[in-house]
Amino acid sequence: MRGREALTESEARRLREALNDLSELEPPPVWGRIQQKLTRPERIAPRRWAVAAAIAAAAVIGVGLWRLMPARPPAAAEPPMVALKAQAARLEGALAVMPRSRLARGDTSLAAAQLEDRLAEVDALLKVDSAVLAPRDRQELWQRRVSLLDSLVRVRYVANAEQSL
Amino acid sequence: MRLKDFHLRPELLNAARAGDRAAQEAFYRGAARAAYTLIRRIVPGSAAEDLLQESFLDAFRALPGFDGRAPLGAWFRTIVIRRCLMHVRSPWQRSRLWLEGRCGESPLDDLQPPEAPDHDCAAAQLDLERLLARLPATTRVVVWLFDVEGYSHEEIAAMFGRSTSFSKSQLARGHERLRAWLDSNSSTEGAPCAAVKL
Repeated sequence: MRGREALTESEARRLREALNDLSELEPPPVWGRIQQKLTRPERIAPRRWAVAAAIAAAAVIGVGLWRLMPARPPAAAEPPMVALKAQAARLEGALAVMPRSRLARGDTSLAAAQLEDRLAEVDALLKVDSAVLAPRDRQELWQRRVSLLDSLVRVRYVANAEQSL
Repeated sequence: MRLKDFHLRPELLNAARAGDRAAQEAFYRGAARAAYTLIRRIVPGSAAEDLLQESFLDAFRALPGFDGRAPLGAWFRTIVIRRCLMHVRSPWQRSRLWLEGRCGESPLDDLQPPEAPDHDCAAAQLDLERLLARLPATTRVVVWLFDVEGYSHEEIAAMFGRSTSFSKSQLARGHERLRAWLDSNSSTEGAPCAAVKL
């Protein structure tokens, strides 16, 4: 068995040559998807009255959300996991009362769908046996979950505002 | 063909820059294979397909501002690498990679080398691909950018926002892990396959 000494110049060169000789790979056919994204129609500029209506709707939703948000940050003495789970519960509560807009722009809908997918992935990872998932990693996943929920609340908020345009 | 060597005829490039769909498709057809190979070597998992798509979208959006000072292939390669680095460095991806590492999975684990008593080209290449895919993500990127794409330590360090010693130590770590492949293929000196001439 070889030791941990650095590769010699000759070994490094041979390795470089071997890496350069690796075969090219056949790409998946994604042109159709690229074309579809490129041909998405431009957004139509909203009329002034519609902007005013959107601002009013956003304000109403915003006040509602603000009431659902925690009034103060969690106390420093509170264990991080407890605080994260409480924050996640509050955000889930906010999401539960928000209408799911079906008329939002494609970008907004796509962003919401991607966030939901990622959230599902995090939830799946959190179900991994605790013998495999260390407490520190579990906490990182909960932080990620809270961050995703927070983003989802914001995106749904925008989607609802757009619906009134 | 390496991605940096990709080029388009000037009239096609100008048309693609102006948003002509046929010219953009010619761009895609000419560069997709090299771009996908680069992406897969840096990000061996299932995300490569999305990264390929996003890289082309980034390029088509940025193409009107392409001034031609750098060759087109080198310009597009920078876009592809930037996309891959964003993916590799995202907190979500890091936690996912950590889990995959913990569970001992590798995107190439389902690929079995052909059974052969002596090392043939395909088996040796597959061994190397598997070892490369098993490197930690950052180490793999540094090895590929330095050894294959020809970037300097200074350029790699700038991409990561780190010092050159970071790039050098990542490269040394990668080489150390790939040493197993060198050892197992050292007896095939003189074989006709370039990949097993070691």
